[in-house]
Amino acid sequence: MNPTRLKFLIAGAVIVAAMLLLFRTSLDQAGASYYIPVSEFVRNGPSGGSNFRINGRVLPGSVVQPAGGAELRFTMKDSPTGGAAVGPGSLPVLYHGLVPDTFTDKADVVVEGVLGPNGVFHADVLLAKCPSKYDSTEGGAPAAS
Amino acid sequence: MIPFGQASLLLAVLTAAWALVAGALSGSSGSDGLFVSSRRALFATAALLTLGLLAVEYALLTDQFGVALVAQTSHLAQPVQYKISALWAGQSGSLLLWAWILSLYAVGAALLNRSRHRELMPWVHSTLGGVLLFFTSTLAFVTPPLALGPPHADGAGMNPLLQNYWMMIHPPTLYLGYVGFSVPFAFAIAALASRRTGEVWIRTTRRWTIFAWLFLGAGILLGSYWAYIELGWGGYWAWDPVENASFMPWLVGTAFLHSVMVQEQKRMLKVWNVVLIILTFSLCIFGTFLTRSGIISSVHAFTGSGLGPYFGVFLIIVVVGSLGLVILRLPDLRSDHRLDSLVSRESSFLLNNLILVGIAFAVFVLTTWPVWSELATGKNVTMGQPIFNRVTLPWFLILVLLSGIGPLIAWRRASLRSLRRNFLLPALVALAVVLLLTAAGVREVYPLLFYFCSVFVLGTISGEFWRGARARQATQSEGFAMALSRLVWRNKRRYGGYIVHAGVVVAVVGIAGSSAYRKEFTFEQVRPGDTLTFAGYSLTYDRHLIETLPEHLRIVMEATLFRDGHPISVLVPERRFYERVDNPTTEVAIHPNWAVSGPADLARFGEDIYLVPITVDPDSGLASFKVFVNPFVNWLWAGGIVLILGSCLAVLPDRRERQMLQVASEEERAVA
Repeated sequence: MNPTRLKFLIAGAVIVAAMLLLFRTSLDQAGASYYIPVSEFVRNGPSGGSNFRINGRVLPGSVVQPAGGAELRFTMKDSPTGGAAVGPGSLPVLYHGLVPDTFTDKADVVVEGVLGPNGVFHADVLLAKCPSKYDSTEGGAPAAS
Repeated sequence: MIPFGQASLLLAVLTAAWALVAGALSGSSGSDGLFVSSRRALFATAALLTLGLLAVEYALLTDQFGVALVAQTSHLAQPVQYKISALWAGQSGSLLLWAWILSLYAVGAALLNRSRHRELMPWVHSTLGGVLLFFTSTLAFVTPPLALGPPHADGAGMNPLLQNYWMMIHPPTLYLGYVGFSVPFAFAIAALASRRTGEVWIRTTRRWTIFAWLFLGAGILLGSYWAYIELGWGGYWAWDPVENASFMPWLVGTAFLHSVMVQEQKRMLKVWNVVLIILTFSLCIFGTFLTRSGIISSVHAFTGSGLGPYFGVFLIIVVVGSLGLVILRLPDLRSDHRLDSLVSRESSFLLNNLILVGIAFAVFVLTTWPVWSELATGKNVTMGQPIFNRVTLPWFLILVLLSGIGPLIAWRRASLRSLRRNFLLPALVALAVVLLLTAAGVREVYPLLFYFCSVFVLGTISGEFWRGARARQATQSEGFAMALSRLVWRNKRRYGGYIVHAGVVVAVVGIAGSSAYRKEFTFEQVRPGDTLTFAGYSLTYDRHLIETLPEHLRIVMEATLFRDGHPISVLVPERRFYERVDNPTTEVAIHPNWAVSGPADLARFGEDIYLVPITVDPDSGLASFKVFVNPFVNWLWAGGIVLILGSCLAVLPDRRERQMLQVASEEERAVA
């Protein structure tokens, strides 16, 4: 192996190592989140981290959105789609911000945030998927915020 | 028409299979008859897929709701253009579009090279036939686009969010990119199979690669633009798995575009180049797989289609098969030269390659992290946007810097004097801009570094244009403008490349500025007549109107935007309530600011005022709004347009490149 090639291998190794280091230091900050269904979150509580991504389905009739406000309250249960067993338990969610156009009172949703002291999940991200109307296109990304 | 279309799609499986078999037989035996036969099989596949596609479009246009695809993606009153584009709003239809575009590429590659590269072409036919075989059999046996579904009176209709012109052209554009990489991939496989591993396959596919790269990039941009104007969250990129799926092949394809130049000039990196194009093509298939398999939960992906395993197996065949072929042919892929110096163009290209592939690898690991974490710990951990940004940003910064340095340093070994001549002035100008910005109060490190690199790169590129035109003027009696345009026209590849770099830099300014200085305001309990103030603007919510249209009811809000007391624009966002869809949709209002009244205002050049209604009460008009102020965001779109124009220039036929191909071709024949 000639010395120049060796230098390049070293350069490549340095790049990979630096990326790993950046990754390692970012992991400790917010950004990585545990992705779990509602029932598991309710059963185990917020264990293993502080930031969670929870998927489930909006309980029909549970949506409260005061006129003129930017606040949204609803309750989530496990979603029956995707073949997963529907577990017991439900989770009240408080969200403040833009509501994606695909959010309805029976949509499959993903919320991301932290559990508040009163047992209400404070979401700072709300994503919604249309339940069954169409199988959405791909490519750029439809149907969500 | 429907049974006819189904029959066509079934027959296409047979013709694609014959192209695979006949091509390979002809490649190993040299048979002319089989060679012609494999080409005809590709033509037949394209014709049959065209018939199948027309049959589906016919079903869509004539509202045949017995067909599941039609019932899901169209309805009676859907506008004609969206009935046509409903083809790619559904899973099976979008795969049909994929396969059809691939068959057209195959016909193009076979026709344009019908009297050239007699040793390569049988294997090219065979490889393209193999890829077509996978897609046609998926269409015939797994997700037939013309399959009948439960009876449906007038169709469910396409999601209103997708009824947008940008969304109409985004998927075909993206597919032209994804699929286009099949051609250089097929030539690489052919080069390996026929042991003709010189520069011929690379020079032949140069323009195909740029074409595919251009469309993939344009497709990504269109997708971002659509997300920006339609999804209403004020941003354009969220590191979503579906976005990453198209970004990874773009990154590796970019690396390939650069590294082939090293092989052309120095006959090095032969293994690296075939591996890169195999990787690019595999990532294109992986992207299609990722959006359809459901392995990564994304709100954007197709759900529960059962296609995952098929794509998985195909992907393994592609990766293992082609890398196996590379290993088998390692003795043929030895370099003719070796690296001379660390300060040379080839080493700057190598560094660019390492970084691009490194970023693609990081994006791959982060995107698929949920799978690995689930396997390792049983817990599904997803990676959020901040991690993607932190891991990739420094490398993008270095890449931008390299895009200014790389093209200007000499092959083999660069002299200190030439470095000083090319880089001193741009570096000083860039430093001055950074000092000015710091004096104006900018303190964030990343934006400052990005602005330094951007100004520096634009400086070195302008320097190249300037010096090139002056040198031409010195020998020919031409005016500066004439010299400049002739210079560019005679060296389309080189100057097209510079223009692409300039476009990337302008886009980078847009990305850096809009992500670092984005401001967000929420206003609640807003009544008609109220005035909101934010970021030096004020906005008066004038009134709301209710309008009933055949398909939907809409609430239109009118608001006047003021700057320094002067009205500058009327913003008209909407909430639409559709009859057949449960949820209302939001239409945002955007005002791009191009007015600059003083030096302090420069940072506002090209910023968007982006108004989103969150809720509105139909009776009283009581509303809540979100306002985003996105600085520099229009630089991104402008840079994208420059990038596309530069690629268009580089993709035009070039006499000098054709001569080089001729020479390489003859050399290779002489050696063999």
